[in-house]
Amino acid sequence: MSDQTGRRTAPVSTDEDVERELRAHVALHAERLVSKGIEPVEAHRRAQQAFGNYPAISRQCRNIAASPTPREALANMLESFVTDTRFAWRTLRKSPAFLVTSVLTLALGIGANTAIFGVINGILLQPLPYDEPDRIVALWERTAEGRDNSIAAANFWDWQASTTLFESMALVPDHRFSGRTTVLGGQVPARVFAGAVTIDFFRTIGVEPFIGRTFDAEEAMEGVAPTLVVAYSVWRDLLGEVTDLEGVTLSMLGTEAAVIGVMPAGFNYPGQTQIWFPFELYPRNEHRTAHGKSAIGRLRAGTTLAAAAAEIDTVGVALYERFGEDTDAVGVNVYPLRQELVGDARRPLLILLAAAGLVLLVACTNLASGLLARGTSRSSEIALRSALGAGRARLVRQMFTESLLLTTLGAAAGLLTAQLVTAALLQAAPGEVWRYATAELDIAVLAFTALIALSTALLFGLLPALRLTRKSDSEAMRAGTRSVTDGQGSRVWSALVVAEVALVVVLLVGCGLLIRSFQAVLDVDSGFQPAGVLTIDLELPAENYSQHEEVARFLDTAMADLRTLPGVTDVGMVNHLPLGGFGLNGAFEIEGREPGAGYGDYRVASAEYFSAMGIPLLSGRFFVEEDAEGAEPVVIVNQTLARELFGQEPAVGKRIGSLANDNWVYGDDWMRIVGVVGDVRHRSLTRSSAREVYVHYRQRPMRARTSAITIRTDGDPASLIKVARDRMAALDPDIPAELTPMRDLVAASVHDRRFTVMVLGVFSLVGLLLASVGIYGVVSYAVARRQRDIGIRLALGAAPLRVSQEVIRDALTPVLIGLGVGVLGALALSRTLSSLLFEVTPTDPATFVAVAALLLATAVMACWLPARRSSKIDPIVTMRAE
Amino acid sequence: MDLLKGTLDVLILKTVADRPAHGYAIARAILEQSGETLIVEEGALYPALRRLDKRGLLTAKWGRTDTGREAKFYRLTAAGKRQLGKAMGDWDRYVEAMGMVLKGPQS
Repeated sequence: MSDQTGRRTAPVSTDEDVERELRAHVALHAERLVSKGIEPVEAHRRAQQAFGNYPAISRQCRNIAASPTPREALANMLESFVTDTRFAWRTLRKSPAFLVTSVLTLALGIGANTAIFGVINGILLQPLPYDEPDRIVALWERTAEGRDNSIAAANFWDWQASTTLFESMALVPDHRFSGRTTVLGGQVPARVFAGAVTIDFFRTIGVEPFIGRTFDAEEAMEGVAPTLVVAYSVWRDLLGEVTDLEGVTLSMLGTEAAVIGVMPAGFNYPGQTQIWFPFELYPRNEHRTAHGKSAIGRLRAGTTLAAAAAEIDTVGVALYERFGEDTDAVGVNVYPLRQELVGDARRPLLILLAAAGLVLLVACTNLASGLLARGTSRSSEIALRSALGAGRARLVRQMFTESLLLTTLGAAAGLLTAQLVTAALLQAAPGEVWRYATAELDIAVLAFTALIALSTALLFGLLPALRLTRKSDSEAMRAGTRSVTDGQGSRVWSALVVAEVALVVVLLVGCGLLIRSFQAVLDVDSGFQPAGVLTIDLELPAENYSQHEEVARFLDTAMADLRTLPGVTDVGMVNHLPLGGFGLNGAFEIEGREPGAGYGDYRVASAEYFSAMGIPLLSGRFFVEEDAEGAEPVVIVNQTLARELFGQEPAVGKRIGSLANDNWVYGDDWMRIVGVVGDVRHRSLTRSSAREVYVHYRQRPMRARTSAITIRTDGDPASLIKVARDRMAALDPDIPAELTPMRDLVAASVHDRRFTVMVLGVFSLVGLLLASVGIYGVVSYAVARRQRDIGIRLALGAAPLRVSQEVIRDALTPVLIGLGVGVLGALALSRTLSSLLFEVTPTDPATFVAVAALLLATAVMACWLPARRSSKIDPIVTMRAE
Repeated sequence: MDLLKGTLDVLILKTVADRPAHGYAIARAILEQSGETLIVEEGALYPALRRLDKRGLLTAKWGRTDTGREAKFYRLTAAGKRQLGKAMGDWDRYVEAMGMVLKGPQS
């Protein structure tokens, strides 16, 4: 132990180190006793006696010395994690089919969820890209029925003047009614969404211009040169991205105005606004029923929405008390801006997220049954390893690592899938609200993916692992590969199939109801015949067409010219096409009745509009050449108006007139009803028709500057687009015209609905596919496990057909139970879809029956292959294999 | 007098703060400096030394005593120094608090 200089070498082991240290203690104690005069042998004895329980202390010290330091413990953990992962990867690689199926399954499940969550994150969760967006609110007039109504400016001025809790407030156009305006003076003539906003608008919404400035108080003064602020897209497309706005002008609504600012990309509030101009330049309209505006407000810092809402509502109520019948606003409704923006888009999004969640659950169920099947077939390996001394914790950890590795791979593949899905979603996405969704991954989305991957691994990896290691070693060793169907095992399988089927049924029912609704919408009688109709949407620039006569002359020329195109049978015009989301309405009088007897929509149309659109004449006549300017003013009304206002009496021959709050039908002329036409679904396919009055554009061309020419052809309207566009350009190149087949406009009007149906449909298909893969897997596995059993029965003379029938019957039992559970679940959940359904009840029997049939057919097909295999089992082979 | 639970560690750290010491010397030092009040049992001392070593608060080295006997000498590490400072601060507050409670409200 000693070296030559008498120095001890360092102890070689921990045990020795401990021993020596404790012995040294005794020796030192003895030395001290000796120094006090006790003789050495006695001193040593006493020192030894004084020392406590030597073996116990020694053991305790050795244990502590042998235990890892915190750092070592961490390193050990990492090391065994790496080893486990490597081992898991090697094992997984040995069964590539399982690996690929599992990763793909998870990629679908996780990908769908990540994509939908990403979209929801952008639209519903991320803060709006405005300064302190939580302080911005949307304001609406409240009708006597409690509904929101667009605002009359006169009311707004009073709100603004009488409230104190708002830092600022601004009037903006109600974008639901915004049309586009022709803009000249840019690089090309264009039609853009232009809106009048009060000068406080930009301050209220809290967005700084990208170039230049926004409106200041001067812009509101009379006699000031008109100015505009433009959106990024206008700056890019019409202004050639000039950096110096000095001297840059655009011409719109007959006025040339200086461009003073450019807003940052993506800013188009409200709706799709591309050009903002000061509202204050308009003459004030004091009518408190002149609706059509919307408003936003910015709360003072520290003010709650509730307090501000209460204050402004008090003002609104007071206005109603003061003005009574002159206003139809009984109060003011206030909403957070987000709610205003997201509105109806929220529910479909949440439904899609729920659907994606169901798909993930189905995927997880597949994974669980896959892991279980794998584990069971590896039960002898597991038994062997545990016999060789691997503890249960070790085995569970190993198997958990395997499922963690699988889900990690699945999550990685899922992120890739999500990118594709998101790109596809944004491509097909409806509505402006989707502007707030991006395909970019952010921390929230990544965290979400990690969370679902981890919980998948935990729930669906840990459970099989725990289950499989539960068997006592000897039992598994003995049973080995010869395992006979054990009752508990097949119960777990059945439970998985039940769960899977139930989930898919819920998914399919939801999807089925939406498909049926969508079909019902498409089956709606719109009142016109879109097939074969080409529309040319145009606005004649006010600069060049300031006189009504000029407008009428241009339209006459254009229609006459288009009528000469090959295949064209009818050419008409109307100021607002059906389903365009835009219309005018107002009160009118009926000759011989009290004032204000009627209220309805009105449109300006030409004689051939009705035949071009295929709107049927029910009585009387269409407009004719003789209904010219100066002749007796005539109107055509729709069936609803005729029925509601004239009942059994014939409407034709009656006279109406004098619209109260719109000057577009001029004077006090009575206008004679010359015809009654069929109802047209003007607002949307799902909303029934309102009363409608058509006036003749020759007699009243004043609202015809914005209008659409409708061309009926006996060929494909799309093939006319190019030649018709050339004709229009030849007539006046400064009129930006948009040519669209009417059928496309109809399709666009149901885009939101189609989108939801499409995404849900894809999810349902994926769910169904996964479920059938799952059922197939479970049944194949059951057949494989019962191979010997079946072999014996076949050897004993059982008919192969009977055997496979039995296999199918066994497999279908959990499917049927799942179907029952799923139907109950769907009945409970389908109510949440109510607002998205059209002419279909949430418990629509046809949907439920179809889903059940589809599911059963799929399940039978999924069972069929393995069942057929069972009947082909060669008894001799299976017996020998034992 | 028995040691209060958890106080041995800080006593050890304090004892080896100035110069390295072996286990026996540490026990003696605590006994003497406490006026023969605090008796450190070997069964507590050596596991404690091992633990402190494990936690990196002490580091140990074999060497020889003045009388030429071999012994394992413990010295304070930087982490040990920090821990000691913290523990002494905690102790002061603890004593103060205990004192305040035990003496009761001052009239």
